Amino acid sequence: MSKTILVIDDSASMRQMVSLTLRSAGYTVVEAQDGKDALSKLDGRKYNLIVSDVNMPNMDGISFVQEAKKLPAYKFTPVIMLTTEGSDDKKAQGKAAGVRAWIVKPFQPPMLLDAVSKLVL
Amino acid sequence: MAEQVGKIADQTNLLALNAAIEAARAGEAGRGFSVVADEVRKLSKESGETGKLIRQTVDTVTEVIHKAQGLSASFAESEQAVVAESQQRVAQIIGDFDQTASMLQESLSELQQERQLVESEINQLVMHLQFQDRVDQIMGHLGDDMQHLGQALETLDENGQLPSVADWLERLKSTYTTLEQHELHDGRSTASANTSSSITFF
Repeated sequence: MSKTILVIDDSASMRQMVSLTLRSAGYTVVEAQDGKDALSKLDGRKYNLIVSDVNMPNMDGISFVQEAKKLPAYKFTPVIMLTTEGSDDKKAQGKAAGVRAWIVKPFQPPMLLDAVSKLVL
Repeated sequence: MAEQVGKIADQTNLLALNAAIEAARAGEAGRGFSVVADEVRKLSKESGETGKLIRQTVDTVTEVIHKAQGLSASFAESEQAVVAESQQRVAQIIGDFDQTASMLQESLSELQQERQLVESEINQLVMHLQFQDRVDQIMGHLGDDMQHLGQALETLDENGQLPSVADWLERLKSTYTTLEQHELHDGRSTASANTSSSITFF
């Protein structure tokens, strides 16, 4: 059975590109359009990894990670932030929230897949 | 052997003839001997016939053997021809197979090269689309800022005061999400915007 990755981004085209990249490598992808939508999808389904944007309406990526880590079932699910944000300040916030890797857009598909393969459960 | 039998029969016949002549000379005394000589002649004649039969049989057998030898040689020749033809066909098939295999190998490596090119083009496309996405975000921030400016102008009408440029720029900076926005704001070059991202593991 293939591994499942939750992809969160408010840009539909970004979600498609990330999903396309992950699906081409054999992963199953579940998409969410912001942090709030993503939280509603943490409903007992097992995710082997989460790839999330940072700046999104309704709930940003960092807040989502903070909320997700409070849920026992998703406490240890690795998270990669994929964002245009490149400031050390934001990265530090992500690290404190429990993020495992930070990729600044634009991402190169092989680079994303490399990070995913290193962290996926 | 058949010839020897014939010779013996001839000599015996000659001897029997001589014996009959001698018996005739002997007159009455040789009459009994003459009968024996006749019998011997008959026997020698029969032996001569038997010799002929033996020779005929041997000739027949010899002919058959020669024919068999001829047939065998002809079979061997045609068999060799068949084997040679088969070898040639097998060599031809192996040659054709080798040629097809090398053509397939060539096509395979061409396909691999094509695949790499397509993969690289897709990667480039994904990168370009993301730049478009970044531009969308930056345009969104600009739109928000223009809206904010409109609100500020309304406030200006009531209070008669403009927000300070420094405050305005500071507020604008706080909305930035991309590195190139920060770089442009600080008057630096936007080198980072044109390069692919790096990855940080925690």
